[in-house]
Order: sequence, then structure tokens, then C-alpha cells
Amino acid sequence: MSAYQHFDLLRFGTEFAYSVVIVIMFLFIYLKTKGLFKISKYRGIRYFRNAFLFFALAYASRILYHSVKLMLVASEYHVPGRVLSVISLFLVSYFGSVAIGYLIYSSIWKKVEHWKFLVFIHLFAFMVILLFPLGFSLLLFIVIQLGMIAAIFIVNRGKKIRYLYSLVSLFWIFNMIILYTRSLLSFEAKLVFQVLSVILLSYFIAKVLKWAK
Amino acid sequence: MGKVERKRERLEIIYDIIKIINDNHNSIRPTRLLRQSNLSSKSFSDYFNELREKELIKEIYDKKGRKYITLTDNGFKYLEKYAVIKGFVDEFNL
Repeated sequence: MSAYQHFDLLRFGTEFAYSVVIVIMFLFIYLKTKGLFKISKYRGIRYFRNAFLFFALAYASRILYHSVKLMLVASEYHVPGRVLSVISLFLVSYFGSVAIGYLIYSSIWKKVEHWKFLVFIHLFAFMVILLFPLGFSLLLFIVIQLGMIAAIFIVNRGKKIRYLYSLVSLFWIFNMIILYTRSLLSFEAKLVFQVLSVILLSYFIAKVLKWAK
Repeated sequence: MGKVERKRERLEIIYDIIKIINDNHNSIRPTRLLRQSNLSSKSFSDYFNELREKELIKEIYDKKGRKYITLTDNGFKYLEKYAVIKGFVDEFNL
């Protein structure tokens, strides 16, 4: 049986469209806040924008993964699926971890005003992806990411925004789980989750647009 | 009991400096700006250099070679957009 016969166009199309919409939404936040940063040159806004740029890159890596998969199916050229998923996992998890790191730093930069923290964010994200060749454990990855979300919650204590930041990051982790444990949720359940993700991000964008019109 | 003064935040200090320049017909001597900004010489110097690097203010000289501080176009935009920037920074805890 050819790879093409295993290919589910509806599932693929939904996944692809979802990733494109999310990338556009994250890029929208990044671009819409450009004006505020340009005038103020305020570092907190710069790190906030970087967080959403890296979230966009993380989801764009998912698009890359799906595009390569589609090309392989179309050409019926055989590449071990494991290689593809590891490369994709590297990019997605690296960009995702950096994004959460920037989100944390955007709230604490006044207390930890040091360029070394930015190097630390990238090194930490790199260390996370090094887990994969050493025997990737999704559970370990989730624990690390949950730790980062806990950090977001702590550094933003007393601020309403901590719930929204944490939710965006939680949805991100759940996206990772769905991406790598394909059989965990049914197609319908994934669809509901994807719609919820878009609603959550729309709410976030509405909050940004209140200021960055 | 004495009045407890709230420590001004960074954005607020920058706004105050820019507003002082604007209120002085967009031209003020550095020493007068230092006095009106209520900052120590060290802090004032740090903020002053930062604002110059961000191209919010610039130095000009009159015919007698006296130095004055004025706002750039970015400085005027900052003044106009300050409430928005402050609201955004507060809302997202940046």
C-alpha cells in the first residue's frame, strides 16, 4: 500500500490551516507592537515582542514539518519518519522554549537586567533539545515546560495577565503533546482544541489592540 | 506622619524629562533640566544619555555657543503616546 493511500487530506488540511492561522496571529502581535517599541525603545516591549516572534517561528516549524511530509507523500520518496520528526522536534521545541523564556524575561528584566540572561534562555532551550538524542522523553519535556509556566506565574504574581500568559503557554505545551502523540485525541477533539486555541489568541490580540491600534 | 513619596518608574521619569522640555517651549538649558527633573546628577546623566541614544532628545547650540536641549520628532511622538505605552506596559507587566 502506498504512502498516499494512508494520507488523510482532511486531517492534514486542518492541521496545516490551523498552524498557518496561529503563525499569522502571533506575527500580528509582533508587528502590531512595533510602533510602541519604535517610539519608546522600551526593553520590556522588545522582549514581549520577541516572545511572540519565537512562538510564530515554533508554529512555522510545524508548517515546515507538514510541508515536508506532504512533499514526501506526493513524491512517494521514502525518508524515515523518525528523522523528520526529530528535526521538527528540535526546531519546534527550541523556538517554543525560547519564546517562553522571553515571556519570563519581559516581566523580570528590570530586576535581572543582564545580557547573560538572554544567553541563558538560548542555552537552556538548546539543552532542552539535547534531551532528544539522549532518549527523548515527552514527559520530561512537559515537566520542563510546566516549570517554565510556573516561573511565568510567579514572576507575574499579583497581575491579572499571569493567567493569560500561562494559558497561552499551556496551550503551546498541549500543542506539542498533540503533535507527537498523534493517537492521543480524536480528530474531533483536536478540532475543538484548535478552535479554543484560536479563540484564546483572539482574546489576547484584542487586549493588545486595546493599546496598539 | 510624613508624606511617603512613591518612587517614580523608569517610563514615568522619561516622560517627566520630555514633558519639562516641552513645557519650556522645547528648549531648555541642561542645568535647568537637571534641577526640574528632581534626579541626582548621576541618574540624570544616565537618563540623558539614554534619551539621546534613543533619539528622543537632541542638543543644539545658540549663536553664543550655549547648549540647549530640545525634543526630536520621536520625543514629541513619545509625549503623545505616553499614556498608551504606559497602559500597555502596565497591562502586560513589562
